[in-house]
Amino acid sequence: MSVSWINRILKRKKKKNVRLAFYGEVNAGKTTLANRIAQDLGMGDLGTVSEIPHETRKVVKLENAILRNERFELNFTLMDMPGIATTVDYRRFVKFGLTEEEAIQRAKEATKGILEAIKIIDQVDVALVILDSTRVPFEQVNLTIIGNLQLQKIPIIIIANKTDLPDSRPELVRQTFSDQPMVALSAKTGENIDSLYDAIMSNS
Amino acid sequence: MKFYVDYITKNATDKLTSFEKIKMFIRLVRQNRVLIVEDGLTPDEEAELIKQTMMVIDFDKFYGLEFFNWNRNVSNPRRLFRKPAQDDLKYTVIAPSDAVHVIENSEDLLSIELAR
Repeated sequence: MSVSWINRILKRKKKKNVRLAFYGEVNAGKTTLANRIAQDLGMGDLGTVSEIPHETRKVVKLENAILRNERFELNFTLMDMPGIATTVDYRRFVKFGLTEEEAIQRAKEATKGILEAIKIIDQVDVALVILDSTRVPFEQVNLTIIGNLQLQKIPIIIIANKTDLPDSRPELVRQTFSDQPMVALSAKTGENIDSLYDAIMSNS
Repeated sequence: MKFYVDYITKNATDKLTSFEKIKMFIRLVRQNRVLIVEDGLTPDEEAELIKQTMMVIDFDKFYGLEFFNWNRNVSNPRRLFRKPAQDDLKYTVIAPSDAVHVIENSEDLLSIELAR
């Protein structure tokens, strides 16, 4: 126990700023969680939350944030990534009231954002993979993200988000990714957010 | 819309680099072909597939694709990080967006419905 504690301190000294990235599908609640963390740290919102898919189309960073608990202090940069998808169909955005021109522009930005999010994987120190716990967790995009993070040996924390909703099934997420640390929470209400901070501290 | 199903053998892709392989898959998917790829894709090939797809979406006729894996001999398909067994078989299905709907993806049966 004490050796591991010393190792953590030494590791912390080597790596002064941990790059913490939010990955996940579109509309899994990444930006809601990023905003929640930013608010908890006394900072402003990082991004806009919208029901229209692909609201976050660029990597948004919260730099030099500090998390503290009784034992550790963690200096980190939080990177809110665009949601990963294999299809970007502008016609879906038109259904939300966007003009065709606006929808095509949004789709173009979304494809660029997805590319950027994938390319940046090897620059990440710790990845938070955000899953919508009201949906089935074994969607291919989630598996691809996790497979690539594992390939790069990047520590992963699985977040089963949206536990405030009646259809939420965090136990299914836990069962699916039983070999990974998992936190069930609601980014919207803040329920169980402290467990996430503990998990970040232990895995960074 | 008419869709075609192509079974791509390991032999057909063995001599190709990952980049060439992905390029070929996207070309075929754009021709309304549903591909069943023997031996499947590795995680980095899957990421490459997404990257190359994003680069060729034209907001006119091609909006992207869908893909998923079918693993045989998986004792518990929901448990993802089981150590792979020697006789595990993996296939990756790659299809145009909205072309397929998975009816069943279990150890013994992959059943998909093709859109019309």
